Amino acid sequence: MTQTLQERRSPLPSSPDIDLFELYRRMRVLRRMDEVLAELVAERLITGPMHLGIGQEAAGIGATAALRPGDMVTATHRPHAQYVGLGLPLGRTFAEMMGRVDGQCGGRGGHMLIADAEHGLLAPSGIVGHSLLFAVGHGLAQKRAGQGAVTLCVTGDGAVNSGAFNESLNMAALWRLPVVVLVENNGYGLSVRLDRHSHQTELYRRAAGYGIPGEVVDGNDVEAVHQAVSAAVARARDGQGPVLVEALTFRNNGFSSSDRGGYRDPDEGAGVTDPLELAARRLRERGASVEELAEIDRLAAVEIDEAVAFAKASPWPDTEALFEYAAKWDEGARR
Amino acid sequence: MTGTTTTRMTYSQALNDALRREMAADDRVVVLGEDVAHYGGIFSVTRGLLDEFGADRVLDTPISENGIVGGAIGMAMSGLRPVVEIMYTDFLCLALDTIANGVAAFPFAFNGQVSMPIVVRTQGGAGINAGPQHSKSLEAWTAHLPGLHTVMPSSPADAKGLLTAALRSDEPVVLVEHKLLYRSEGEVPEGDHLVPLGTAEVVRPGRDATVLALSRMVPEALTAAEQLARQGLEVEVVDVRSLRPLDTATLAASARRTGRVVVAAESWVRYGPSAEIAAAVTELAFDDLRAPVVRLGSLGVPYPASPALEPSVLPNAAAIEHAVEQLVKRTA
Repeated sequence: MTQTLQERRSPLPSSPDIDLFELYRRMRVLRRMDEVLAELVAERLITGPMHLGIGQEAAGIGATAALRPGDMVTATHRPHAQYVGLGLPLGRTFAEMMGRVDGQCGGRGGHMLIADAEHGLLAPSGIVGHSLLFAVGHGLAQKRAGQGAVTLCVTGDGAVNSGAFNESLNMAALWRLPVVVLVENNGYGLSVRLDRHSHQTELYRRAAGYGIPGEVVDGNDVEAVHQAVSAAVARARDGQGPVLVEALTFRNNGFSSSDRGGYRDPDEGAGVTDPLELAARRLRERGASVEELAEIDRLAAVEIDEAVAFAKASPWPDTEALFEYAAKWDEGARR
Repeated sequence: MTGTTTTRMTYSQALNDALRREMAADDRVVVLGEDVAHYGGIFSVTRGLLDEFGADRVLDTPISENGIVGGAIGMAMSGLRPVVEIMYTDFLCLALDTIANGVAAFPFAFNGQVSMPIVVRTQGGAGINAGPQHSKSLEAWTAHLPGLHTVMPSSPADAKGLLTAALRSDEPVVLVEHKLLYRSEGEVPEGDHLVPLGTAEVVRPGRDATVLALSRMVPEALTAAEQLARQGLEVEVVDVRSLRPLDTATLAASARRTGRVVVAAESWVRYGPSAEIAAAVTELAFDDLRAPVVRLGSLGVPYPASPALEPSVLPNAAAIEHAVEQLVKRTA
């Protein structure tokens, strides 16, 4: 088992037959990543805003597992599940978050703007609603190319009241684009609870307004998400157009590192299923040993430790390129 | 770079010619926007493209400006070369999010992993009694963004040349047309014709004063220069045409030659492009200037609809003529 887990340590490109062990492993890596990120923020090794997704792992990990190489993903300001789920090199990812030269964007993007063209992540964006808009463009290109590629658009309950949601869903439906919209409903848009910013809180119902299928899944059940998104992806690949999948989950941390709290009932998260606990319980029921699961956890911690060590050793980026860029746009003509 | 033979055509036809040629040469070029396909664009710029290139390359979109530009971002990241038409520059306000937070930012922010070969064509300007929401000149807003070209052709030849250069550029370009120029005619080089982005052009040489003009103010400045020539004043007219990068070398060289500068741009004066142009010229040619740079633009009010009111707001040839006369008089 250890040997198998070792082989799995670098996340592979996703495949449709990923089992619960692998889904659990990815969620554990993601959980560990966010836990360590909170520490790095506290230590001021990471500055700037930070949006963690502790408690939301199943939605993002289950969804990306439904994709195959050549597919495209657009994501939100809370994109760590996509980083892990798509197998981004995490050393570089931590380096980007720490503003170091080895980050995917050389320190220019920061934690919520890590594009990775090689891994099909184009792109997350810190502007709520952007992921929907970009998905329309990818979908148009994919439909025209006719190779069966699809786009997974990750968005959230906070985005469903943006104009971008309406504009994008209409265009995706109108043009029958191969786009799967995953609405990660974590119950809050910033500090505002869903029922305080949306009259219709069953968000999947909005799909009906665009004439596309909408469904809701337990967003804390990674297998359920994987299954629902896989079906939507298969439909989109087959040229039948977009699907909206609402994954019900819970944000177990602040909206960002600047969250002062005080807006929700402290017991609110008490009854919520932890996606990792649920997956671990299932694995045990299916015969996995406590030791096997502990080994997954240990290896996840090692992987994150190694990534952090890589990032810490990465130099700061040189400022010279900034001056070259500015000179190009600020100075006179380029003939 | 410029074809040897020319054809007389309108500004609209010249833009259409550029689109047709580039679409034929590169099947990654896709046109999208409101009314662009079946209707052919409200100013007829995209007329005929749907029939020639088909519905997967010429797309009528919903009225969703931010969605159109946001979609173009995805298309560009997926390898296409979208050409977006935003019907009025006033409506570009609805897409400023995706332009400022996406198009202009991503090539830099993603450290070169993506390019944004996106052309946003829009048209601005007053003069048809269209009122406050369909008459503005907002080019300063996009020219403010590093990472984005903003160009404003004033003639049919430049319309073709700048649009062709924009379509071939891997960097994003906002091309601002002027609604009163679409029917203007001029000689346009046949075949390949490029005007490099980031270049101004001296369109009429002169020694007594310089008018740095933008878009529709270029023909107005040329009219003024004709009038002033009768009084013996030789006015140099420079078409600024690229706001960013700004061809400060050409602008400053003219300022040094004449020592007297009037900037004529239709937009409001405060914080408009004329502010940047005047500052750049002052920084580079201060010692040769005989007086402070004079700026002409629209009166600082929202554009009124009434034909009795609108003309009082707009700069024109007579205002340019008067400004140059006054400038020469006080520095004689």
